[in-house]
Amino acid sequence: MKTALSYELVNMYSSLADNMYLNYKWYWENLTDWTAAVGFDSISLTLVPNQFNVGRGGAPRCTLAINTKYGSAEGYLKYLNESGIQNVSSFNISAQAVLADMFESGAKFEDLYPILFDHADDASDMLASLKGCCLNVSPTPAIGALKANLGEDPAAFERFADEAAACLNKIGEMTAKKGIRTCVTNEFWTLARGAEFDKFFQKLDRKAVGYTASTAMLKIAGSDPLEVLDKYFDDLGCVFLNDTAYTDTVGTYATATPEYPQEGEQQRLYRDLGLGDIDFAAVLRLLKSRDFQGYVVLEPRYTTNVPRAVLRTRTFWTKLTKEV
Amino acid sequence: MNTSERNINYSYMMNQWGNINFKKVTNFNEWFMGDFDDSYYFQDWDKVLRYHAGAGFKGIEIMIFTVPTMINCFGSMKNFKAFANERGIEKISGLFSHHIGSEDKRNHERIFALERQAVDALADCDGVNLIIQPCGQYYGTGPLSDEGLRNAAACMNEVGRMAADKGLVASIHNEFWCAVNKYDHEKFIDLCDPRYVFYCLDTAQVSIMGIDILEFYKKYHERVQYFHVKDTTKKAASDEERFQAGAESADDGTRWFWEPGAGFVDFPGLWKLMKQYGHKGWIGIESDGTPNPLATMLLTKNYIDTVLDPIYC
Repeated sequence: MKTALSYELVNMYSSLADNMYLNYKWYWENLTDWTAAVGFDSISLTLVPNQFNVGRGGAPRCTLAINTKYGSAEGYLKYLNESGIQNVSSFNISAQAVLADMFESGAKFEDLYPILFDHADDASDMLASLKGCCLNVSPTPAIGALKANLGEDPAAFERFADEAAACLNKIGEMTAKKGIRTCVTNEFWTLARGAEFDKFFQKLDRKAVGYTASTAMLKIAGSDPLEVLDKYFDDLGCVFLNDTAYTDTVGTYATATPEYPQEGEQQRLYRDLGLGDIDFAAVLRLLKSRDFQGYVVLEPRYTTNVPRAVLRTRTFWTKLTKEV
Repeated sequence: MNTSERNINYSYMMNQWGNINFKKVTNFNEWFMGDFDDSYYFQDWDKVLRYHAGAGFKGIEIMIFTVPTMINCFGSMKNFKAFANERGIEKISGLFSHHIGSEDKRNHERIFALERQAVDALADCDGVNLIIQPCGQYYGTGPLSDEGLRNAAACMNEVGRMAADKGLVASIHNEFWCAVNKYDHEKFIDLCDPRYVFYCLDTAQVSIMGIDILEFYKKYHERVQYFHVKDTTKKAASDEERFQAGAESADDGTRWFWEPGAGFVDFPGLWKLMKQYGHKGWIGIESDGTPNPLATMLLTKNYIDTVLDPIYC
């Protein structure tokens, strides 16, 4: 079992007071220094499609930005290695990010999966150069966004899920040639959420596409992370440990802003690791008992204080590995 | 003095707050307990709008990239406007957009599609100014050929007409790192149709480009319909600094933009000229790059009250 820190601890879309600095290279290089200082030697990055405003900045959020600021993937890896980080274990890309980009790119909804495929092709090229192993793909836009484009017809959603699965299979075949394993993810707001995951996974070619699990996403969708990890153990690429104390009592998963609940008593989805309800000791016992060889990615998703979360994550992992 | 009694009113650009995702966050303890930080105060439109109204800013300006999020949150820009009005914001004065790739005619249809959405969004919230970055960054694009500059101007003219059809005013906003830059900035203005394309004078961006903003305003005051007010400590950056990859996001964290009064821009001189030319309307304040939006907003208000208003208000 190997560990990595997810840089999705930074919420690029937040309104916290220092938001502007998230676009600066030095911000991310500080984060890399802190990551190495607490003893992590691998990171996981989330990428969006190449776009002007992200691509001209210093956040490693798209291949264009990495090329702009480091010259190439090799240049970025050299920088990481010199900072104590050995590789980028995985990239996360999503159909939702492709859809969100369409507002500014002017692309049409029906072009979503061709664009996702090209995005995956570009990302997996760079990931191979960064010594990564898994391209984690969130398969569909948010259900709330799909309703706006497809209406409420269940048959339209079914056809859309088929299209998503076909695209993932194609991505899986394509990335395998580069030594990268494509894995589907299970965000609680997509058509592969919770109990729907079984049905969606059956549409996939299991030789071409694995599964990267996320504990908080499973729990918010009403699934038991332990049961799911056990059931799909042989398909696992990475396991993302993220925490939550959120219970979706108001149908947040199907709204236009699933990660930002506008209604209900609870509006905070994610907690730093150890501060939510997930039984991580049980998760780790399961992974150990079955000799999991992939990456456990520690993700204090969308933390409200990045340096604190880096320290907390090390403390959390040290305590957890002592306990289990 | 209320807004209708003033010649100029101040509007604050919201880009310093990033992308605001919540309408209203209500449960303090959910964000505070266990973390004991101030994140509760910086998550939602409700509080951020009230900070601006509380500090005496009755207008706001928004970025194009936040429009989808705002529509997701509020259902429509009309709803957003009503929400802002209830919190003391009287005007959505402007929306900032961009024409990336406008030097190539093949990109114009895509840009027009984006701008149709921008125009609709701004009109839906009774806004006024569509503020437009004319091209992408200089790095990788500039210097523009004569044909490229003409194409960028043609794109701007078409969008200007599109805005005018909805009762809006389109204005050029020239970044110091833009493909349209120091050497062709004025040529570009002259290529744009004065009936449809006006100018938003960004006091810091244009100063960093190496242009004397007072002389510029004297020359182009009839085209200058709007302002982005911010200061800078960097006068006339070199070509090398302006033309480097991702110049605005400086690799070492250099802060380009400051609250008025913290740099070298001659704001009293500019306000005297505004008075001389009888400028009227909303003026935008931008504080992109501040590490503390609240502190910057209050310092800016104090500067307006003590330095600018006594000259012209």
